[in-house]
Parts: sequence; C-alpha cells; structure tokens
Amino acid sequence: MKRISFIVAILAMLCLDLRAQLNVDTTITLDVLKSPVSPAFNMLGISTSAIERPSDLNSFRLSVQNATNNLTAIPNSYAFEVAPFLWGAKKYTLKDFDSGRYALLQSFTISAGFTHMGPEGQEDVDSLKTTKVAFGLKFSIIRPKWSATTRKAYGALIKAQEDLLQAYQVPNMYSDSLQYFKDLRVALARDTTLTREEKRVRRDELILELQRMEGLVDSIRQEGLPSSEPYQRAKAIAAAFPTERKGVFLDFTTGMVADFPDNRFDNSLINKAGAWLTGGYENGNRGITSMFIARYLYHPEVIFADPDGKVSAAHASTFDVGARFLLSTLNDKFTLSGEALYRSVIGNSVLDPSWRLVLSTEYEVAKNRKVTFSFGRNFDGAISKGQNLIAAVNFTAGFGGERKVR
Amino acid sequence: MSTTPLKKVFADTTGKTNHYDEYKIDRNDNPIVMNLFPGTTGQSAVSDVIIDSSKKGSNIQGAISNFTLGTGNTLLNRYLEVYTIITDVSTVTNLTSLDFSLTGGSMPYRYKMERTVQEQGDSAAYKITIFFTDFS
Repeated sequence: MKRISFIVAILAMLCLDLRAQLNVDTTITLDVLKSPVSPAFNMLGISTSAIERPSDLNSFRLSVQNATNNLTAIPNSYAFEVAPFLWGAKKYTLKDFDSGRYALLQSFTISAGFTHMGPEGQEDVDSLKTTKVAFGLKFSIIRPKWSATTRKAYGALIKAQEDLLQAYQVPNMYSDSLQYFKDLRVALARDTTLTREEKRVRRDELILELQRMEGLVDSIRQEGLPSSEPYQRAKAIAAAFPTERKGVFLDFTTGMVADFPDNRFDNSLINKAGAWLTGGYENGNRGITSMFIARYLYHPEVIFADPDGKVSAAHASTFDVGARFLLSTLNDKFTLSGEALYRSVIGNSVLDPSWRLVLSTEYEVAKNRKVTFSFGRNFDGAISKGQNLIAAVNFTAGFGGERKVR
Repeated sequence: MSTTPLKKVFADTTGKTNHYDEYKIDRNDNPIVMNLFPGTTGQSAVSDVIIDSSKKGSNIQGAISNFTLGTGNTLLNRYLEVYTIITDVSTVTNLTSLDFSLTGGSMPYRYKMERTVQEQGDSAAYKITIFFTDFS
C-alpha cells in the first residue's frame, strides 16, 4: 500500500508539468470494426425492420407466401434470417443453452435476401432495375457458459419446478384405479371364453375408459396448481430469467452480395463481401473486458485505412485487426486498459499498413478523484517522423468517470 | 387453500396435456427405450419416470434421451407414468410441448402434445401413462 501511495504522489507531482501534454485520444474506437448484426442486409441496404425472422418452418412458409402474394408475384425486396438448427425435431431445453457443446448449432444463423429495384431515387424505374442477392452466416465457435447469477436463477427455477412436480403427483388418487384397470386388462388377455376379436373390442373400450379417467383425474390434479406457491415461485423466476454469460468467446460472421447487372442468373458478380472473427472475454453484466476483431472486406463502403479516399473502394480488399482489453484490480480502483488497431489495403502500394496503440491507466485516489496515465501511438503522419510517442499524466477531480468496455 | 376455477385459469391456454395408451411389447430381453423432449426451444423442464408406483427416474432436468425402462420380460403388464412440468422461460413464444417416444417393442411409438400458456413464466403439467402389453 505504501508503494502505491508513493507512486500516486509522484504521478500527482508529474501531472503539474505534463498536464499541457495530455493529448492522447483514449477514445475506444474498436466499434468501427465490429461485425454488423446482419451483414448481408447491411450490404444490401435492407433495413432491419424489413427482415422476416420466422421461428419455424411453418412461419417461414407463411412469410414467403405473404411476400409473394400467395406465390403470384415477385416482391421488390425480401429478406429473412433463420436459425435452422433450432427448427429441428430435437428441442434444446433451457439447460442445453449452458453447454458449449451445442454453441455452434444454437447460434448458427443464416440470413438471405434480394432486391430488384433501380438506384437510389429511381427505385421504381423498370429499365434501371437490377437484381442483387445477399447471403450471410453467423455462429459462435466458442460460447461462454452461464454466469454465477444465471446459474443461481436456474437452480432456483428447477427447485420450484421440482416442488410443483411433487404437488402435481400428490395426492396419487390414480394408483388404485390403475391397479383395478390393470387387473381387468390382464384378466382380459388371459380370458379363454372370448374370441380374439371380442377381446380386441373389449380392450379398445377399456382404453377409452382409461383415457376418459386420465383426463378427469388430470383436470382435478391441475386445478390447484396455478395458485400454488411453487407455481408462482417458478413464474416469478422464469418471467425475469437473466441470461448472462462469463468466459472466453469466439464468433464468426460473414456475408456477401452478388449483383446480376442484366438480370440474368448466368451472369453475376460478387459485389461486396466481408468476414469477421470476433473473440475475447465476456464478464457477465460487467460487459466485455477484452476483445479482438479481425475483419476482411471486399469493396467496402469506406476504407478504414484510407479516410482521405486516395484509393478507389471498387474491387479493393481490406484487412483490419483490432484488440482491446480492460483490467480492474484493487476493488476497481486501479484500471489498466489498452487498444491496438491495424489497418491495411491488400495488394495496394499507395497506402502502407498503419497501426495505432493506446494504453491508459487510472487510479482512484478518493471518490471522484483519479490519477490517470496515458500512452499512445497514432496512425497519422507523425508515425513516419518517429516522434509520435505521447505520454501524459493527469489528475482529475470532479464527477469522475467509469470506463467499461462494452 | 383457495383454488382458482379451471375455466378461468385456462381461459387462454390451449392443448391437451395428458395421454393414456398401450404399447405392444414381446416377451424377450429386448430393452424398451424411452425418449422425451420437452419444448419448445428454451423452455425449462423437470420430469419423473414411474413404473408401477416405483420411481425409475426422479427430477430429471431437460430432455430424457435413450432412457432404458426395462426389457420386454420385466415390463410386461406394467404401467409407465411420466410426469413433466414445463415452465415458459423463452421470450420468443408461450408454447410448451412434449414429444414422447418408445422403441424396443413391436413397432416404434410416438406421441406429441402441446399447450400454449397464458403468460410468460407460466407452467404446464404433462402426464403420460402407458400400459405394456403383449396382446395385439
């Protein structure tokens, strides 16, 4: 503790001289590399509100029927996003969402769509209409397990369900009746006075009687359940079930748009494409504490490495990588965070790859009083001069601020 | 304990939640295997499996896969009862369902039920009763 106090004192003194040099941009800008929620639609220009998200095969069929006016017309645009592995006959119960085993299948999402319209402002001019088709994929390679909070809620829910299950089975007024029908049933099978056909008829009558009895007993059994304590307890937990995850994650997203310039399906060209690999550590409701993103884009809207527009974006391929981390210790009093970005245009000699690095630390001396230290290297021309190292120490007193990577 | 009238409680719920049937098995040592998938995706479930009043499985969470109930010889003229509570946790739907199947007898058996609960967080109680017989 003495050592920390000493360091803090030194930093506080330094800040008087270096305050003027505080010009490191510590704004976290990794968001520019983030994969869009629906890459195929972003590239196609379809708004997210226009995307159909059917939850099963039947609703998908209805969605297509609606869009095509019962298969009689081709709409100007149609887009859908589906999770095909959640449609299958095999269901995933809540418990299965805590397992990494099913992460890929449960998170696997296919998105696709097409537009048949003219350029912006002339969407309905028939002679200018062209067809564009988009396709996207998204899935988790590694998915974190539930946090302790979610596990606790799940445990409480299961306990309430177990109590409800017990209440559902008691009183077991059914057992004696079942025994009676069982004796009848066995006696019928052994009866030698009846023909096989007569036995079948009698058996079917018994089954019908048992089905009626089953329905009656079950309705009596169910009557008290909704007002019972375990039912209400389960309801309260389930209605506000928190799904929070903690651990390492790795997600992959990709999307592409194909253009059919003369509206012939044998003449198409890849208009745009992109792939994102996102990984890091998710820390429950404290957000993501470390993250990296690798991004490949073909024909991007804006070239990240070329904000001045020196290179034509048409047929350009870019590769960008970014990483950031946040470490909090001493009860969140000491925070160390960092960010690195690399950007490049593949196969291009006009622009060299460039990178940016920012490191910053923060120590809370008292409430709303912090000593901060930042260190950075920028993308710009200063890099070539080799004098771009910026260091600053600053003392902040005021309302304070909490830096969390989200 | 006060009880709510059934008509009121299930005013907006739909679907059957109990079922009784017979399953034809042969007198041999073939295992009779049960599968039970409570749904729909994202719902939480707990089940008890009872054979002639004796618990074969208690408080089983989620799906029950490849659960061996016994053999043709041991299950003949006995009752299987499966009680399941499914609670609606999914925010996507209020639909709960039960997909029950048996194999190992004369032919595979499958039965599906579903119920839409009234509100988010509500539970549905399902009961399946099967009598194992060698009479067809």
